[in-house]
Amino acid sequence: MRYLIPIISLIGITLLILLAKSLGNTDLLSTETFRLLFIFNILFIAALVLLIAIQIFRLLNSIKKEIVGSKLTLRLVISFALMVIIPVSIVYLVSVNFLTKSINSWFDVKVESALEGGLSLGQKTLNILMRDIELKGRSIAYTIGNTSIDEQGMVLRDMREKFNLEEVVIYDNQLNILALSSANDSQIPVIPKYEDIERSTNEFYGVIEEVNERILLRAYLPIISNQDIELRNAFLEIKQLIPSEITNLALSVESVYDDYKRLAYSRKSLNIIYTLTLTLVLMLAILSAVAISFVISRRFSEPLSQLAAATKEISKGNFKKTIPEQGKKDELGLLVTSFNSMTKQLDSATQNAENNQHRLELSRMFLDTILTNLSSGVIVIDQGMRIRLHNPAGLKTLQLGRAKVVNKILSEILLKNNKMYKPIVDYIYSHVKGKTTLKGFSQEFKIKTNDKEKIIRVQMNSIKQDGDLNYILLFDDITEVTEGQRHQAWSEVARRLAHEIKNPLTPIQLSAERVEHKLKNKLNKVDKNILSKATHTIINQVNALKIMVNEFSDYARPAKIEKTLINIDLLINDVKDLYEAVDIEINYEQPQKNLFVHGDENKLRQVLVNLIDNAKDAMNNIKNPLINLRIEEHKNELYLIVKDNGTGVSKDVISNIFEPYVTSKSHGTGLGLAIVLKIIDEHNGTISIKNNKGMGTTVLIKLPLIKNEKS
Amino acid sequence: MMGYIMQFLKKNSIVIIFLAGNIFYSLSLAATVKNIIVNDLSIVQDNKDIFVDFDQEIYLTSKMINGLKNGIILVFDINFILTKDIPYWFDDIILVKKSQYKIKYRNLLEKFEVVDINGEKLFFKDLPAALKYLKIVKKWYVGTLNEKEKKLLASLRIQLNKNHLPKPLQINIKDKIWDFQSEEITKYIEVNN
Repeated sequence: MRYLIPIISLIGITLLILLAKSLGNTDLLSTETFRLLFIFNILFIAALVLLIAIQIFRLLNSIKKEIVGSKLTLRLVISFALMVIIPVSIVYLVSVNFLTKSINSWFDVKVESALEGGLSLGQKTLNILMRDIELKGRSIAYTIGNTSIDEQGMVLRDMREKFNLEEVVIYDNQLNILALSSANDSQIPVIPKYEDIERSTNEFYGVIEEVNERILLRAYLPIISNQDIELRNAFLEIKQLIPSEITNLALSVESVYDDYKRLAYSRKSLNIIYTLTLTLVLMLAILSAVAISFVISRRFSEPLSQLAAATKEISKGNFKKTIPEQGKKDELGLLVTSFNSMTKQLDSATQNAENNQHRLELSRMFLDTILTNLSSGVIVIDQGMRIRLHNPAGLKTLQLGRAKVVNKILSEILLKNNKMYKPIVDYIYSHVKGKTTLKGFSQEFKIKTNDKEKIIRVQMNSIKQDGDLNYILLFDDITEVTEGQRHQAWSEVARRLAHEIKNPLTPIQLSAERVEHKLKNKLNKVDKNILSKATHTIINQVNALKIMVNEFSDYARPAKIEKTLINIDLLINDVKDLYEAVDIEINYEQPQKNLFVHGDENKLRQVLVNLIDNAKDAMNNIKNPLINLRIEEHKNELYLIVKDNGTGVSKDVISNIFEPYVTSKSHGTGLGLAIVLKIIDEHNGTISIKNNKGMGTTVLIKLPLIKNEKS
Repeated sequence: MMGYIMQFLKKNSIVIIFLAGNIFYSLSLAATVKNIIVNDLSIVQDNKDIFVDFDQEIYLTSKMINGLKNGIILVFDINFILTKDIPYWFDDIILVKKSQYKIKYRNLLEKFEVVDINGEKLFFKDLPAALKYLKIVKKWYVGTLNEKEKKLLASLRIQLNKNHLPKPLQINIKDKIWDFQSEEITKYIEVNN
């Protein structure tokens, strides 16, 4: 389209020039060529109309599709077209009017009358000259008719010379020349036409002719002779050339008159042709202008459309969008350059922002990973105690499961879950209420949940973010650490006690036995009995102390176990056999498979014996005491369950039951379950105890399962 | 089917336009009124010289006569062609002869001026006399013939030469009265070598 319209315009101008040339009375272009040109022009106009129609259709289609810049193009096209159509139309109307009036003004009545007068004058002059010839002819004819035949030639010459005639010839009725006189002797006379002779039989007959651009008067008249018989049917031919001055004037008047008449005759056609040509020019000018206006409008609106489209793209976030710079140094070119510079800067800024965002995201992910893998619970709250951030360990520590807690009030969630968290909530609230910056504030809380006591340490730090004060709460379940520390302390105490107490016990026992042995025979019976009782008591108490010290020693001994592959089923049966003499029913459900664990057989036997002993003690006053032993396979673990129907364990004791010196029994050291816990720990297992719903307790030991095989 | 036709028209649009233009032009030529009637076309051979005799009736319309009175010169072109028929190929043109005769009204002389086919200028008091003079064409020399072929085709056409008309009349497409011509008269002639 960019090249098509200039080419079409060029063709149009060429056609118009050719058409205008062919309008002139030149032989440059023939009538057929003009017609062809005319048809070509009309076809060209039709092509232009088609082209413009297509352009308009495309433009309207673009507007319908809301393509950026199409409306601006339409406005520009209308503006440009109107800028051309209005003045050209005015010029056209004025031109047509002027042309019509001008053509009509050519055919002025006065001019026509003058020309007709001029022509008439010429005709009349010729007629006068012809009349003059007639008179001269009659005079010659009369004279010749009365002249003898011998003198005719001489008289004819004299009279021709006298009347200044070109040629005088006497013909008989057979067109034979009887006499001849000519101004030009070398010229042979042309035989007259028979019809001319015939017309001059009785009277004068004159002919006016044009010969070699000279007007020739030819006259014929009969000769009436009474003397000569030959002349009776003879006739005279006179030729006279009109003077060249008169001829030229007459012919030029005739030529102008002819031209005028021709013009007048073709006036209507002239009007039509000029009007048609002007209309063609008008159409071509308007249509070319409209067609060019499309190109110009597109050229104007294209950068703006590109700018609008690019702006749209940028608003969608595509900052890579640039507009091709065409090296224009005008305002539009400057605008395009500035726009491209702006988009580059925007792109660079966006790239930086994206990179920063990415880095931020990575940092956040890194923090998330740390928080997720952190064993300590982290919860960030704002001043309204609304949870802003947390990690899984935080929920786990506070036993909140997988609840969605973000943007919820921490105190409400905690108290809803367990009222025992109130001290923690109060502690946090007291600090948050103070709206003070905190650093490293921490406190430990004992929380009882599900028959267990947990020790949770809460540490608070405050951070300021965007002017708001937020608090980082660090929750640590330090129950196991505390217990470990406590066990370690107890072990140390037990080890020292065993060491300090065990050494003097044997000398005490030996001394008591030696005292009894030395004095037994020296004392009377009463004193002897008293001595015997006293020494017996000392020995018994020393033995009791030895047992206690041995237990302490066991509890305090360093972990030293010799592991072998143990068939738990055989172990349980061995232990069960030990209690056959006891009045307590031990029910053992044998498993389908033989289950093996890796451990110290003696230690594990000690565990079983301890647990059965505890169960037996708890069933002293029970009617039908029953101990159920059961082993189960759970994936890679072996569950050893010891269940009794005894009195159970009080709630106060059960949470600390595995701690040394914690016992519900009236006798014993309170170290049994502590030692059991220690042995199970050494076997990488766990132990738990709970009261049954009805009666008694259930102890569950979980040990790593090494292998199983069908029994 | 329609799609195929449309595709064909699209591909061959220029050829179709050219053919349609040709047909239209031929039809418009055929539709032109024949106002000159040529009769008795005969070829006279004098040794190798060829002469043509023919009669013509020229039926000028009142508008043309009026045009004559208004200074318009009527120039008629006579086109004589002698061709040899070649089977399955274009005819071989043996001889072409072009000539003119014209009629003009002389306002000064109040006569019709005729220049005949041989270039002789004559004046007539009225138009019928002038046309009568032009009617019979005898011994119009058209050229010499060296052709050995015995059978040749002679064709003759007379038409008004519009280039001598005033330009507005020439280019006025609406005005058809100046499309004045005879049919193409053809005749096979025997040549004596």
